Amino acid sequence: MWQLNYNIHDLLSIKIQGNGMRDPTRNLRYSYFATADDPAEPDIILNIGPFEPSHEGAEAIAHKYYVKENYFYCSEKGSGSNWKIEIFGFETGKTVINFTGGGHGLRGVVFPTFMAQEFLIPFIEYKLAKKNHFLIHSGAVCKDSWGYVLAGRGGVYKTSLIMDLMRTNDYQFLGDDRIILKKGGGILAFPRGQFVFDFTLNNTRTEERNAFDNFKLLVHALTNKTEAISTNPVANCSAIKKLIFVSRKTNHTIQTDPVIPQEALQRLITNNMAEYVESTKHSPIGQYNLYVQVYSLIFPDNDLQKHFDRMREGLKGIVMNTPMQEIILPFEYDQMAFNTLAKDIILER
Amino acid sequence: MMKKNYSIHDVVKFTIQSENIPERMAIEYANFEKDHINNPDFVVEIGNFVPSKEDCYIVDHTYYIKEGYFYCKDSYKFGKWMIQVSGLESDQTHIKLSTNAVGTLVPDMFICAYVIDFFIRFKFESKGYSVVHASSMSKGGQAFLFPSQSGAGKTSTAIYLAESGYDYLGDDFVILHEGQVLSYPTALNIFAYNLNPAIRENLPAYDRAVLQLKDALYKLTARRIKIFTKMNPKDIPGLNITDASTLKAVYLLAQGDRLEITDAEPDVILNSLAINQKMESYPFFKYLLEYSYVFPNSNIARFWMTCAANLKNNLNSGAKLYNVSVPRHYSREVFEEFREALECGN
Repeated sequence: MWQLNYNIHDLLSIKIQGNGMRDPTRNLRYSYFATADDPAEPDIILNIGPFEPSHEGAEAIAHKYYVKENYFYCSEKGSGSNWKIEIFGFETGKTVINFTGGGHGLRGVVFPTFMAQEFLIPFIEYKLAKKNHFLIHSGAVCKDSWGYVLAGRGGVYKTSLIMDLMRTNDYQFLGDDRIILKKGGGILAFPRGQFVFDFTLNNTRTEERNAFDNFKLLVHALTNKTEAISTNPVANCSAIKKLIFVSRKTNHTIQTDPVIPQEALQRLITNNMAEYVESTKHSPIGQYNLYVQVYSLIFPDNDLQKHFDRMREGLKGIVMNTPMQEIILPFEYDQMAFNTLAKDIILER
Repeated sequence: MMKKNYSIHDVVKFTIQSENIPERMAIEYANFEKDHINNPDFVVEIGNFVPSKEDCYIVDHTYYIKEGYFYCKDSYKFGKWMIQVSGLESDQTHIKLSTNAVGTLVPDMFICAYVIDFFIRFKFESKGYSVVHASSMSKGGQAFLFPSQSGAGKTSTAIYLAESGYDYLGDDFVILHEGQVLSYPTALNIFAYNLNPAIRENLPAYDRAVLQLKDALYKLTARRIKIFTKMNPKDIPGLNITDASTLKAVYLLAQGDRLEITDAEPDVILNSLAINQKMESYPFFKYLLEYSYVFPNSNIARFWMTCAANLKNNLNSGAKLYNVSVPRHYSREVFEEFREALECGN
């Protein structure tokens, strides 16, 4: 039995515990928030390992989802992975998640708890939103307490931009995948998977790792028994200087576009929601939106489905009061692209 | 190049073009086939193609999007496909699709269920019609609608009622329009374990053997390969298909311990139908969401709101609404009890 405790900016406490897992310390997604304190009643407990579900008395939907008030259970076979998930406190109160399963093959062996840890994200997002803090799918850097937010869907070089800003302009790191926006303005850091981020920052030019880089990363993961503490400065900041939407096109030139506030709000919401929807079944986090829908069949007025309205309301002020811009990167990311962006667009005062 | 034309109630028209249209696919829409149609709402072209990816936004390394255009490669278990949609927001949508060998082997599972079925529903919704995940049977021009999740008794109820002399409108999806139920007689999915004894007895020995073989394959592959036998409802002995009926009552079916019928609020029925529409729209639920990120002000971004508004309009006919819990073992005795309640409500 092992257990790890996390404290997210004194807003949420999380305990992850498990049994039977060989080495839980590899690729911990939330190590930035690790704490020695053992809270009596964590907001979220994630139990990783085999369990017996208590779904008696639940409504069965499509023969595989089981729903009771504040409770959800399912057992699914995805492409390349299987999982069983039981959630107590799905909608209100303290949440306990029992999770077993994970990816097949090499990834399943090297990062056995990856899928379970990823599945925490929507729960953290939902609980933070109730406290007027909004976990958004964006990266951010900061200088002199001013934050630059880079929002965008996956694969648009957010991480590469952030790595370059840190390397060449001495910007501090807030997160390359998720950050927390405060309702009244300001950003809290949410670094995740620093093991992989630090490796990439120190070893490769952009975020795109080739097969050899991945091999080195694998060796690094297997030989480092404990995760290296990040050497990169991480900071929180009190105000947002600029909100930049990053996109990527098949073209060869950099483009910029103005952003309409109403559209920006809609895009921030869709950007978060799309992370919880997959076209076909690959991972539990990609099924989260479906699980909420299934729960809503039985409990139509539940609080879970009010989440995105709450977020829209909370982010309205930020979107209205922050300078915004869209930058569209070309198919290939290169230093030229970065120089143009950094000087003329991201950092202009 | 083979080409088949289809028209559903003269509302949605489409064309399928392919080197070869396999039987499993042809049978799916056989009841809508026409010699000639004008201005199809969409054309599906099956076969290898080169996507027009220039000037596209790239999302998640996977989705290529520009105005009215979508392209991606996708997979599920053993099936792989490539899809390109152009004219997504126009009234003439063009779809190009290629699949791997598995997709060709069971085209009904990939090409029909994932793509064509979605576009049929998409085009109906764009014209103000609702397509709901429900079975529907009628008697004397009065239709009963049975929405449910997969496996909660849609098809069983339909087949039991057919044996009791009811007319058939659909067993998986039907169309609602201003208080009318329009038929949607696509192929029935028959699997040995859900086979009604009345049908089984009427099947030729060869078909029965094929069914047993598929059942065995399903068990052998640890439930990975699930191949239904496709049957045109027209070929099922004793099943009489009717074109349209007035919606009389909605019975929302859910699995429970015993048969129980209670009054339902309109919002409960609407909510359930709306969620069901989304749940039955994968993988397009994802594809539309990614398109909506790039074009937050498009009709596509408002598509699910349009569907919800359509449901409200089309159901608003004074139909009686009920929740029904159906026991896991849905026997003839349970059905007879249900039928009594259904006919008492008349």
